[in-house]
Amino acid sequence: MTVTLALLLGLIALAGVVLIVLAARPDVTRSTEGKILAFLALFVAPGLAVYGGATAHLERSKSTEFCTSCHAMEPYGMSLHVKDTEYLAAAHFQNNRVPRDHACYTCHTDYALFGGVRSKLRGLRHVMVNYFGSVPDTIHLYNPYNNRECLHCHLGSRSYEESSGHQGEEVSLADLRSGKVSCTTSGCHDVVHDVHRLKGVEMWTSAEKP
Amino acid sequence: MSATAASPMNRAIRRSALLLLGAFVIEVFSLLWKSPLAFFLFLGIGGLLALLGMVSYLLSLVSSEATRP
Repeated sequence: MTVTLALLLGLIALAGVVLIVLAARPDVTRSTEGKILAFLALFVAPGLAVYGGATAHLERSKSTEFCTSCHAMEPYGMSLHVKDTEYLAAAHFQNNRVPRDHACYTCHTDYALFGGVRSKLRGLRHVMVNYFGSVPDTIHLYNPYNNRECLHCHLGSRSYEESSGHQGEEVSLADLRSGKVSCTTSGCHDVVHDVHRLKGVEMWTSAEKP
Repeated sequence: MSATAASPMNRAIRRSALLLLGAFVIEVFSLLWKSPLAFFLFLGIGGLLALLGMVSYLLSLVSSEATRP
């Protein structure tokens, strides 16, 4: 349990006690102190609790554990543990190129204005489809994967910019930056999750499972 | 129950307090429940109860001010 969550639960417990007193003896609000107490317990504390609760839920929804808790996402979670580092997602996850506890969110959020909000709204829809709809056999991205999401971290890094593969005649840094050449579908880093080929693949076991 | 305790203002405070207690119980449950559905529970039921409780309390304040001689 995080400190923030513990503080939130403490606030809720404290406000709950005052609410029980108010429900049992509403007369206490006749005094000025009672009115202030009622305002704090009936308006300020619930406002803070709802804000804190929403923040805690949104923060939790960024975790790898949360994303892979749906049955449809389990293979994607497994693909992070594939031993073969040709698997792009696995190489990032196992080498701490993305935070392991926020692995999905790090790569699948648009690094653009309202990208996070859009991700959250899509996430709400995904939860609804998972529980109350029918999950498609093959899951596709809404849009082709944008190089911007890769370059958010890689742009400016020495190993990326000095890589011979990124400075060739066929592929240049400018092409990658402009999106003219895709990082993931131009034949360079096209093995990303490959969830349909996971059967029998050797897994890296020393990492904590998401 | 005394006449004072049954006054409209007291009833409104009791109603708000009970609604908010319900909201808090649901919020605590949703925070401890590790399921993607917890957010829907939190927002759909807990948030609604909290909103109703807060609005009910604010309306009671406004109406008590309006009826004051």
